[in-house]
Amino acid sequence: MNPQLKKGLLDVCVLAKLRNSESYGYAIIRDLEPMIEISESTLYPILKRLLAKDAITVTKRIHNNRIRKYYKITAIGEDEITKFLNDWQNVEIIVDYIRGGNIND
Amino acid sequence: MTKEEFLIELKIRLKKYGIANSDQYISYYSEFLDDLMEDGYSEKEAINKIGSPNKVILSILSDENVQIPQAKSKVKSALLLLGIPVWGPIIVAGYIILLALAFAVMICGIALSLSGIWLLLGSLVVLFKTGILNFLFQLGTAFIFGGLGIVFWQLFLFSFQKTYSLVKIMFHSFTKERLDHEYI
Repeated sequence: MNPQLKKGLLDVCVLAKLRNSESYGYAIIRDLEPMIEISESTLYPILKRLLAKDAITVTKRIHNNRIRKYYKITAIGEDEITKFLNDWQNVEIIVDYIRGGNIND
Repeated sequence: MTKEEFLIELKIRLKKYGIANSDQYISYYSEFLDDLMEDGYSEKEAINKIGSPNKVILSILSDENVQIPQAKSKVKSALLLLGIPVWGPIIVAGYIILLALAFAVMICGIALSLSGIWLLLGSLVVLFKTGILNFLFQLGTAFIFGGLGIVFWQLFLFSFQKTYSLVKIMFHSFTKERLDHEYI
């Protein structure tokens, strides 16, 4: 997949994964892996980016005698998903045009 | 490679590139390895899945938000270069003192071992000329001198090695800094 396109999609994928319930790094990758190429090293900058714009929050919790970081979506993050879905309607029109479909002009 | 070795390798590389929030990366990858192992991966498989520390470092470096204190170390090397007239002679003098000390220890080592050997040979003469008691005394002294000779000789080798590696470290740190700049 085009890296630019993938970069935009990955952020929203992570947000969508967190929409249902909070989760931790490994679980995010395990769930997204079958759908889109994602690895440990690509997830870190995504989480950092999302944390920086307050789209998610992080809490440390003890799991099996070690610390695990759990990520939770915020209202800002949910807005991001809505914004993406709205944008996507425009993308679909463009995709139709690229395919060679008709556009009303 | 074990999990600990992986994390240490990673930490060394993070430090090498002067990445400020290295602890966060370490705890992130540590959590990941633990989660992978909890999910049934062996330690080796978990590390293979994440990749080599080199691969991880490359992806961290390519992350745009990582701050590399390049300008700071540039200023540092410029200051170092400007200061050569000041610290250059001091370091040279220090190095000469260290070499002189090593040389003195070496001379002591040679002198003590030679006198040890001489006393040992002389003790044979004493045995035939004056008797067993004096012979034993001289034999003991010969051993003391010989032993001290060996001790000083080892001390010389040790100090020489240390002085040599000190110089090596100094040059190494210079060339390494150069390389880092070119790499980044």
